[in-house]
Amino acid sequence: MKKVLQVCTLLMSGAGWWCPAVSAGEFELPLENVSLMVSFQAINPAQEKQLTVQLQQQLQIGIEKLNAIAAAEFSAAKKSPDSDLHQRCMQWEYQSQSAFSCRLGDLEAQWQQARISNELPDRAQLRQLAGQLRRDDRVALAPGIYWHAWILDQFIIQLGLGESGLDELKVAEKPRVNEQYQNALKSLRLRIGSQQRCWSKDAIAVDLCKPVFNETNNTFEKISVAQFAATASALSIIDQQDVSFTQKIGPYRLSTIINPRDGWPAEFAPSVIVTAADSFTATAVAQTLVVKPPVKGIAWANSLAGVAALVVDEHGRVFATSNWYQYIEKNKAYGFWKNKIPFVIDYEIPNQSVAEYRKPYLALWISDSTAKPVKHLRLLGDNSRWLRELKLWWRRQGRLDDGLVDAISGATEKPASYHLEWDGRDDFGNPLAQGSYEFHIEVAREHGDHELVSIPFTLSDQRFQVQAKGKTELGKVSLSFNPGP
Amino acid sequence: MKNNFYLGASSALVLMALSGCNTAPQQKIAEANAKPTSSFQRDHGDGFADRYWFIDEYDQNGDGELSRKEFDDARASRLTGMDLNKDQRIDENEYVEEYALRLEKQLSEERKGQISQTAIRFDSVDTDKNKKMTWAEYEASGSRAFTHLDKAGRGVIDTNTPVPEMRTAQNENEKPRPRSALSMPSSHSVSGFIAIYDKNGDGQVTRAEFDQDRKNSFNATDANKDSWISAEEYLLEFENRLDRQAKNVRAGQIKQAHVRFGALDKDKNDDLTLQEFGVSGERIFSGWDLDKDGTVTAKDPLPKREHKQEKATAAK
Repeated sequence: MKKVLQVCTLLMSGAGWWCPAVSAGEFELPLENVSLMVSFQAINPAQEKQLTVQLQQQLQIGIEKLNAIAAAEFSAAKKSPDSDLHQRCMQWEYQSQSAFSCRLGDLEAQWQQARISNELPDRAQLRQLAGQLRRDDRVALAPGIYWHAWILDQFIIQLGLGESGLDELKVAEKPRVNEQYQNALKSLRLRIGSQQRCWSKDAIAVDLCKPVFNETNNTFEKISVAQFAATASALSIIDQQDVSFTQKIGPYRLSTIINPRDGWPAEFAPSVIVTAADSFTATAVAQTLVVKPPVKGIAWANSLAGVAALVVDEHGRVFATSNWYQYIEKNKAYGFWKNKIPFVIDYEIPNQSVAEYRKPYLALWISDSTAKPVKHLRLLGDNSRWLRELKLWWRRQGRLDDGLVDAISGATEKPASYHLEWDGRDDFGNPLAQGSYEFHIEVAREHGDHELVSIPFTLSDQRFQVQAKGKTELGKVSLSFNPGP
Repeated sequence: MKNNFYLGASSALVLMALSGCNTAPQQKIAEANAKPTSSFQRDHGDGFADRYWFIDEYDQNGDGELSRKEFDDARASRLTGMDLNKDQRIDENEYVEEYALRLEKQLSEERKGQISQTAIRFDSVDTDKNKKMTWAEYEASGSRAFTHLDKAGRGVIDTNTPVPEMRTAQNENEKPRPRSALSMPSSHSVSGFIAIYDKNGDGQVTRAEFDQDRKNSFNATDANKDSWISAEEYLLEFENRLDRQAKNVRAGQIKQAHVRFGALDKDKNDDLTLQEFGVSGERIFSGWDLDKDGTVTAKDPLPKREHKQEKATAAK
C-alpha cells in the first residue's frame, strides 16, 4: 500500500499494450479519456487512410450522441430506480454482497478532501459512514469507473461490433459500421478510461505487471497472462502496479478502489483481469475481486455465467476461474501435458460418532523434491489458531505468512467423499516441470486426532494411479494422472 | 479514575503471595500479556489483567468495581446501539458491524501508540544521532537483540533458548497493560523472535539466517537506495507491517464475530434478542463473580478457565 512510487514502465511506453501491434496508429478522440486503436489487413495505404477517417467520423458522431444519452441516463439513474443503469448497479451491489457499489459518493468526497489536505481520514469514522451508505436505500448513485463501462457498452452497440446485452439504445438512428470495415478491420481497441473492448481477428495478448519489483532492471516485470481468442468481449483490468489506480496522500500511496464495506482503499490488494460479455459486468466483477479474498472471490466468480477471471495477489500467486485457461493458446496450456485431462484427487473424510462433532481443519498441498510447498489445493478452516494444529502444513507454510490464510482459506466441510482436479500449475500459475513431487493431505479435528497422509509421485508422460488410506480422520485417498496419448 | 482499585489490586496481590500461589504475580502478568487476544478474551479471560479490563469496559460510575446492574445496563445499552436501522431487531450484520467498529477504534489507538514508539526506536538505533540509520547501526542493533536472547552463545535461537526475564517488571500499582488486538510479534520474546526471523520454517533461527534477514530488511527499508534509512523510511516500513497485521486481525476477528452471533442467536431467527444477549451476559458475569456477591471486584478469586487455546510458550 505505501510503497515508493514505482511505475510499471510498460504503461509509460504507451499504446499497444493490450492489443496486437497495429499498422495504423492510435488516435485520440476529442473526448477525455477515450482512445481508439485500429489495424487493418491487406489493404493499400490510401484505402487504410480512408477507412480510418470514416471510422473516426463515425465515432465522433456516436460520441456526440452518447454524451447526450449518457447525461440523461446518469441523471435519471440518480433519481429513478427504474432506469437501466440504476437497476444494473443495484443488481451487482446485491450479487457481490456489497463488495461492489455505485453509491459511494460520500466516501469518495472524503477521499477527495484527503487528497487536498494530504491527511488520511479517520478510519473508524469512514467505516461508520460506509455502513450508513450501505443500509440507506435512498442513497443515490455517484460517478465512478462503472460510468466508463456503461458508455463503452453503448458504443459497441452503435458500431455493431458485438452484443452488449443491454436494453435497446435510446437513439433516433443507429449508425452502423460500413460493411467494408468489417472485412478490412483486423483489430480494433476502444478504450474509455480504464475500460476497454478489443475486437480482433488474431489473438489478443493480455499482460499484467508482476507484483515483484526487479531491482536490476529497475522495473516491474510483465507477466504475460493470456492470449484471448478474437473476441468482442469486454475486458476489465485492474493492475495494482498501475499508477492510474493509485492516489497519493501525504507520504502514502493508496489504491483508488474504495472497499465499500469499510470505506478504505483496498490494501495489499490483488491485480485482477476479468472478461465478460459486456463492460459493466466486467468492471463490477473486477472491482469485487479486488476486495474479496482471492479464493472466495474466485469461487464467487465461478458461479457467474459468462465470466472468466484471473486474480494475482501481491506475492504473485495466481487464482483463476475454472474456465480461464481455455483462453490460453494451446501450446502454452499445460507444459508437457499433451491435453488438459487433469490430475485427479479423491479423498474421504469419515463420519465420527462423537457427541460434539466439529468439522475438521484440512490442508491439501503439493510439495517439490525439497519439501517446499508449490501448490496449495485446499485450506479449510478460517481460524489460524486451529490451523496451527495442521503441524506439517503450519511448519512448512502457514507460519510464514498470515496473509496466505486469509487469501486461500475456506470454511470447514462435513464428512463426505471429495473430488478435486488439478491443472498441473503451481501457486504462481506456472505449469510444473517433470520430476518428483509429494502430495499431502493433513487433517486436525477439535477433540479428535491429527492425521497426515503423504503420497510421493512423479510427473512425467506416464500415467499412474495411487491409493492410500488414513486411520481415523481420513479414509481413502487416491491420486490419478492421465496425461493422454 | 481507579484509585480505589489500585489499593484493591495491591491487597489482592498480597493475598495471593500469602496464600502461597505457585506462580508469582509478575510471571502471571508476563504470561497474560504474552497471549494475544480479542475482546472476547477479555470477557472470558482468567488473569488479573483480564479482569481489570473486563471491569473497565462496563464500569459506569468509574469506581473500579462492577455491579450486576451496571453490567446489565451497559449490555442493554450496547444492544440498543447495535440496532442501526432502528427496526427493533439486531441481525447478524448489525451485530458484526458494531463489533467491527469497536475493533477499528481499538486498532486506531494501538496504531498511534505503536507509531510513537517507532520514533523512539529509531533514535535508539541511530546511535550517532545524525538522523541517518546506517547499516552499521542497524546491524549492531540486531546483534544486540540476538545476543540478548542467546545468552549461552549457541549461535541459534530455538525452542531450547530460555525465556528471558521481563524487561520491566509490572508495577503492582500500575494499570495492567491492555490486551493488544494488533499483537505484533516482538523480538524480545523467543517465540516472537522465531516468528519474525525464521523464514525457512525449520523452527529455529541461526545467526547466519538472522544476519541475512537483517540485510534484506535493511535494503528493503532503504526505499530510495541511498544506503541509509531515514526516519520516514523507517516509519513507512513499520506502518506497512502494522497495516498488514491489522488487515489479518480484522479479517480473523470479524469472522469470529459472525461465529459468535451464530452461537448467541439460539433460535436461529437472525435476530439477537435482549433475552438471548442476556443469557450470554449471565454466563460472562457469573464467570467472574466467583464469590457470588453480585459484584466483580479485585477481591473475587480468579477463575480457572478450561481454555481451548494452548498456553503461549517458547517451546512448540
